[in-house]
Amino acid sequence: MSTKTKEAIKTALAFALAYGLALKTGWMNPTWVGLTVVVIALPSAGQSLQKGVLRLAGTVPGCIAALVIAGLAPQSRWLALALTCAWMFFTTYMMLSRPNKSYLWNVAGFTALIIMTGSFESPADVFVRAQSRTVATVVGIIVYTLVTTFLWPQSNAGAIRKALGDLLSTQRERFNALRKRADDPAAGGDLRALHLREVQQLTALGQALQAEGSESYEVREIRPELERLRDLCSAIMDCLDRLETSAPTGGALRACLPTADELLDEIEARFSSMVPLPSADSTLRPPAEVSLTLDREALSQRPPLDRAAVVMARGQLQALDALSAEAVTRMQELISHRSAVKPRKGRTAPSKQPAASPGYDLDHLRGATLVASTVVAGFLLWVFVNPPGHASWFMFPAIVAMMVAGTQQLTAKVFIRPTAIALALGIAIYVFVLPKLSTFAELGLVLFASMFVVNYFFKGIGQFAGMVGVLMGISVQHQQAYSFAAMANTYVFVLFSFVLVYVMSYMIQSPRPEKAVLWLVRRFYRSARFLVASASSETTGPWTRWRVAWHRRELQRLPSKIAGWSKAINRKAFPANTPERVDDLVIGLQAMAYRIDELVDSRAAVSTPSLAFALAEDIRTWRDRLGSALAQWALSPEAPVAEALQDHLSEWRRELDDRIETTTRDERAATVDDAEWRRFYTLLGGYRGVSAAMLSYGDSARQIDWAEWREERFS
Amino acid sequence: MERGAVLLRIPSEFAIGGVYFPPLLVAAILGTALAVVTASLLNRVRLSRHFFYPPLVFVALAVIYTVVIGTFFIPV
Repeated sequence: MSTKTKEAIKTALAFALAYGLALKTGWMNPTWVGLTVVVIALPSAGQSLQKGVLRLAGTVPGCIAALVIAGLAPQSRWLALALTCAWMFFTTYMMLSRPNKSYLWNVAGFTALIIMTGSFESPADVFVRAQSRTVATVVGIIVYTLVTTFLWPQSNAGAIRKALGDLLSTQRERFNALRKRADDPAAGGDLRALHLREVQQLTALGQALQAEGSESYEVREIRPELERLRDLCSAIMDCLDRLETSAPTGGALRACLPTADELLDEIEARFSSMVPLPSADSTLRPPAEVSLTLDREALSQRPPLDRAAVVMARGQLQALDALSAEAVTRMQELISHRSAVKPRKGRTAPSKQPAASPGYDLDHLRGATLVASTVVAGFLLWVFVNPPGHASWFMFPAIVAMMVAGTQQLTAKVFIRPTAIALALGIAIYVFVLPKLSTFAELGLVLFASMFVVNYFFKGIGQFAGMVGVLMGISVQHQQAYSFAAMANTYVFVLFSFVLVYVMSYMIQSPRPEKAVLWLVRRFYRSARFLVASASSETTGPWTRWRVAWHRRELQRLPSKIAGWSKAINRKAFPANTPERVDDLVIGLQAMAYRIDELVDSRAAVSTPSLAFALAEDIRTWRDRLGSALAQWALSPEAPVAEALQDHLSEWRRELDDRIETTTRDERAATVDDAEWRRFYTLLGGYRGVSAAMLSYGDSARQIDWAEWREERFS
Repeated sequence: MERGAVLLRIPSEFAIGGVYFPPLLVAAILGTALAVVTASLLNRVRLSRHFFYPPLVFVALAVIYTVVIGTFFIPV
């Protein structure tokens, strides 16, 4: 029997048993128990238990919030609406900004809505309703956990080990490919595919940590260590990304950094010692110290901007050195069962984090606004129009809006088809089959069969929408009464709820992927422009620092958001912008984001303007040109600014040699130490990196038909 | 006006399998379907680029079609 069949049987069986238990004990709403089962039905017991715990942890605050709102505004519909909106806004924002507890906040939001809707219909029952919801959630979790534990149990044992091994193996492969490419730009294989695999494996490692951690006590004990190792892998990925988009040629590196090959061999050896993952109680080769010395003579032979590039690459290699050494040390601790209780001594790799708490995220605010405004729209529809569905307009569209906000690239349209089919199936069973049943054995068989069909034949979002559709269609109550009109109204109500959310998503901002990409790219330019301008700002008050941190985080996140939205663009509607061209654009933006980040860091590193004094005018002019180019791109992404930038850069390169020579002869420069020179070259390298990234990006941006994306069309 | 023409203009439910559907619902469904067809045709010949905001145009088309159907074909 296939795994798919087994999973469908497990879910369907738990669903039927949960209904049986609820009907036997006479709880308020048997659908709630069934709903809990279908929602937490995941392949392994650990994952299901984890989701079940989050569901319970969200149900309790959701119920409390509903009771508080009902208590504060028992006779005031507008106050109740305002408080509910505030709660939904808060929970949706938390759902989007706390990925680990996302489901908890999702449940806290919609549970409050469900209980509130009941309180509008019968205020006296609100506490019993909240209590019943909590009990139903607990019972649903218990039933599914028991079924998944005793029937074809699937364990996550070894999932972390496998995920970590795969990830480290890919990182070693990518590191070696980057080394080859430094010597020969044509070599190195498909770096893009390796990067994609690395991102997927990092996500898989996070999921394995959650899943195996929830079913194994031993894993929970060493979880902080494992999480630190995952963070290190993430930082190594970031470091490799930066090297991929910036490293100078191998020849230049070897000439100026004589020990570069030795260090790269050492890093390779560290990766090799961890791949494949060593067995328990084995001993890893301890990381050796390799000093990355700078050959000043060789460096001085190179043009100033090349010197800056070498200094930047040195910093990146040192960061990779520290990260890989710490990864080996942590791995050794893990395999020798020495957990995180002891504080670590020796060197610790720096974590790349934004400088200050950057506050809100615009996309999360947009999602929260969508949900809150959908609550208002549904409420107004119910109060002033009262279409079929009645008080449920207050609840159901907002729940759908939460799902849409959680997966912003999906529109409400995606849910309509599977829900319509499954709901029709449920209603057909309700009309033609349920009235003929007389025992629970018969009903259980019907429930089992319908849930099995949805689980087996639907997948992804369709499966979830289908399961909810069946649940709403097959309406089983303690005192069963049949009403075709009620069911037909439910059908119309559910489908129109999706339409309402679809309309509301257009009210907040166009959910069309190409428009979202254009908007995000404009945001990217605005943040980039701010950071380039602030890179020389002398005013460093708290407000400026906060803004810098906020824009840095924008720059860190926007390329991946643009990549996500670009994958949702209808390729047939926009044939000129092929996926390869769009990928090149995203890679260009990512490289620019890294370089600007380094520029901001390098500005912070130059503590005194002792060296910048001679080149202050040049740097200011250059910064203004970069800022102006970014401003033009923000207005029009196809603006031909890269050509002008290229001309200016060539001109500057020619002049810079003389300037540096003059600067070194200046009497004030004689008092400057080596560290300050390095910092100066780091600053210069920052500007050089941003310029090079912008030139490279300009080539990618020219390949995109922006007018095609801007063109209005029906979606 | 003839008696038959007057009767034709009196709104009446649609009975499908013994279930009665309001005429406005039927007209709205047909109006929306026609709006979908029109929108895809306009997309195909790239005429939609001349609209300032196509989602609003779609709603307007659906309303216009519903009114036309409700006036001339299915009395609502």
